[in-house]
Amino acid sequence: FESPRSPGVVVFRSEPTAFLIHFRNYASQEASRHSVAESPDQDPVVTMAAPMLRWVGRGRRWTFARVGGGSCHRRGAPTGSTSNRIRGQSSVAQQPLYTTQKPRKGEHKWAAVVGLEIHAQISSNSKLFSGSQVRFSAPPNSLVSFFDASLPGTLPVLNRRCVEAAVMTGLALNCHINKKSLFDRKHYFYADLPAGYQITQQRLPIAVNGSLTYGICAGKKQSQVIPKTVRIKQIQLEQDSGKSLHDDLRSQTLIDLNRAGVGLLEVVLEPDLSCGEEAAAAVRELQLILQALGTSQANMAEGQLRVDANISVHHPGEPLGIRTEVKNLNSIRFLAKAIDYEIQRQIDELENGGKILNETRSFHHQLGCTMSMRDKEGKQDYRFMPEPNLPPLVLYDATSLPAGADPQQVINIDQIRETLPELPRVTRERLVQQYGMLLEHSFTLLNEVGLLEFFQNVIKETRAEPKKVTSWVLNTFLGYLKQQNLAVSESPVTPSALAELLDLLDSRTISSAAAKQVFEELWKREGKTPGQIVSEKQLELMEDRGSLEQLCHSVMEAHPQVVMDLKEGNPRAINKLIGLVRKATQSRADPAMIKEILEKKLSS
Amino acid sequence: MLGRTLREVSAALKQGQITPTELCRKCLSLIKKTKFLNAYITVSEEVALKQAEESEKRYKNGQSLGDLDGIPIAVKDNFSTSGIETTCASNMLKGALAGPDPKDSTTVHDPINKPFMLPSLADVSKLCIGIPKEYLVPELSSEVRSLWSKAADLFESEGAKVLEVSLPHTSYSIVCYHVLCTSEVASNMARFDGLQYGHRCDIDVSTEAMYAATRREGFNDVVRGRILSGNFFLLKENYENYFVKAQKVRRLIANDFVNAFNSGVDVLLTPTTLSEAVPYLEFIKEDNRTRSAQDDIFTQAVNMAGLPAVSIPVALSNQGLPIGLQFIGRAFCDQQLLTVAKWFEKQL
Repeated sequence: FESPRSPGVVVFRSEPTAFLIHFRNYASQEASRHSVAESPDQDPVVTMAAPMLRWVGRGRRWTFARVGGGSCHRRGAPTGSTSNRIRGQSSVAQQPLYTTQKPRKGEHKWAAVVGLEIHAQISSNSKLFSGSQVRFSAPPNSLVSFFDASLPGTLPVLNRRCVEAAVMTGLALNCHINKKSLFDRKHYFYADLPAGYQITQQRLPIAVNGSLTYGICAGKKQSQVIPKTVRIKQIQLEQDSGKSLHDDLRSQTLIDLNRAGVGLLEVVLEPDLSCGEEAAAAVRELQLILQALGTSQANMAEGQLRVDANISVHHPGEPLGIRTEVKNLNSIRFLAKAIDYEIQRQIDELENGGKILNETRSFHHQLGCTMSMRDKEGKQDYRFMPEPNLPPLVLYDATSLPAGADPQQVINIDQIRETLPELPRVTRERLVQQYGMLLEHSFTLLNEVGLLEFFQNVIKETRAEPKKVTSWVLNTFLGYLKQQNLAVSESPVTPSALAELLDLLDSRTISSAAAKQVFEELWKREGKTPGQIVSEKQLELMEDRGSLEQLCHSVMEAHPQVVMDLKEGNPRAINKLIGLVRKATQSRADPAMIKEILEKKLSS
Repeated sequence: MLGRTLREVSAALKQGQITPTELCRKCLSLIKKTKFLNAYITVSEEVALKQAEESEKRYKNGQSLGDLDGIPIAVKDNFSTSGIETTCASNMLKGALAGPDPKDSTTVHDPINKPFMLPSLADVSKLCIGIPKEYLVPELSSEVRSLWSKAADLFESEGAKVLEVSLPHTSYSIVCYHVLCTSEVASNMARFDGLQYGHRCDIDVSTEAMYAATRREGFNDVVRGRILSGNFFLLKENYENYFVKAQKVRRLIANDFVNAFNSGVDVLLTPTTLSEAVPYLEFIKEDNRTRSAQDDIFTQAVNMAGLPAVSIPVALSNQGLPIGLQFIGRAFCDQQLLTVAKWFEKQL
């Protein structure tokens, strides 16, 4: 075994587009969705880049096809109001909108069955069986040892860190860790597989029978988080292959073996998922867990996390349908889209009397569809054989650990269990307990890269109540980020700045409307502190009750018809008055106080 | 000089009757003369001479490394020999081949004291030698049989116990070995596609075409036959009936040996080959697979059982060709095995 080394601190970029879960939270708070013109002669109003749209029917009428007679989680109907904020947010993934396609008479309901095979690159210094370095984006073929290039006479030596990573991941996913697991060879010929076989763990993997709990947003405003669980069939250690780059211009393929031999954790999920949304949520949670453990950076864009989906449809109560495998899914968003597309494709095919072929399909994200990858080869026989150069992998626990064993040469499962870091689920519970926030807020905080740290830094520096901080971070701060498609790390507002702003609010130096103004100024990156902006723009709350009373009086005098309205029992007229007073004070008065004064005046 | 025994040549070197470089040159010239036999695939002439010069210096200064210092060696071509070329030859002699290999995951982590010295056999009369009766096959030549018998008598006359033991699954071991060996060959040869190293054909129509032509050109019919057999045994529909079955038979064969050793036997004594070396023209009358099946009968069972074994040259046949006998030891008892073999060698 190699000696264990810590992987070091990793700083990673967030993906520019919102994940489904987060976006659903955000949308519920803004209550904004687009309306789509349905009249035949009007250009469709498209302010979102959403390849999920499909033409149905002729001419220029748009309708959106609904998945399977209903999405797997009920959504509210589009409300049709547009918010100023959202316009221009072209790269943010909008929630797919499903309208009802009237089901034909006598049609059964369809149920989809989705199983996932997830490959996560292990975060380690060297490869699974050789000492060459693991690094992203190195010059081609610069990280290749003799073993990686399959030179004859080279033998595999197992990397201890990779085994520890597998055990940690298995424990975090509630798996049974097999104290003895075996390595096998899986044979196939391909240019990026130098040995002609991959070393994997088919017969007896390192961990089995676990579970992954994730959250789905549901409820009327997408504000409730429903916990769901998917079973984990097994986790196995295996080698990654090299990369082939097809150069069609010169009819050649270039092979880069830097990735060949890097350790992978293959996590196989049982087919407990039923739609793209569930799959996306499950994968997102797995990503968070792997990142919290440090066992994988799980960045899909960099290929550290790869997902293949197995999809079939059937009528509930009847046997399972033929399944297809969908590959080439390199973001969570595409994962959901591809699965939903494939489900619908299969339903359409079967409803039209066609058949589903047991094949592999690739997702083309520009077109938003899956296409067959069929080639003439037919089904592969991988000729599995035990790996003769590796003895069984034996792990120990506190009771089975042999006395006087060299700690460098043995792995103790119980010891690893004790050193597991806090998992996302526990972090979220802690946030709910500690700061009194809703569960879905904790989901949002964890889902956005860097957001939790930002939040905690603000909490540290401000006197304001945690609930206030939560609200500002999740609504205002995050809203601005999303609108301009920025990562938390790119934010012009620092935690200290926001903390200072919240202090001003908390001390009632400024009103909340003023605070929003200050925030907008801060976002301009002009280098001013909140305090400076407040004094420059004279946003301090009016302290003087007397002058405020005078202002209220003059406003009431200036608008007798509104006062009349109010006296006649129209309660909303008071808001108009409050608004007028506020305008007169340039938002420098506390609306609550204004209301109080007005009501007092009116009753007198 | 080249016809003498190692012990004689070593003595000659020590006494200065011949120098290491002279000896080396003699070997090299004989290799050149017999080049048509293709017995030596690679001859590292310069390295050998350089090392011979260094050995000569050591003898001059009275600092020879041991009995084998200055003796040229030949290594079977399937050993990776880069280590020998770049390091001083003395590493080999100091027992570099003894002890655990950190690059081989299947070696036992049992440290060996270096330099590795074999003790002398303390007491022959305490030994128990086993003679497996199934190894007395009709194809065994009378010469080999009589040498085998004489060796057994030798041990007995020195007071050792000589027992007949039974290894009942011996007759299955060739087939068992064949299935497992060809399966591993099919797997291990999968890397030879010409991409990273080695021969690559000229065809570049497609990857598959290139692979197929490269492997057709690079492997001869014996190897291709073994690969095809191996892949056949590993097919999903055949795996249980062939590969797994062979593994089960292998367990039975290994257990045979365990039982034999458990009955008090320290070392087994068997022939190494059925007869003396067969002349080339005689040998090629049968194909390689048949020949292997016939001649490997005594030696491949130890591979199945994972036991240490050593072949000792015993005598020359009536035709003047060498005949050897095999000693088989218990698992991980290499030292005991070699000690017995060393004693036996001294008696000859």
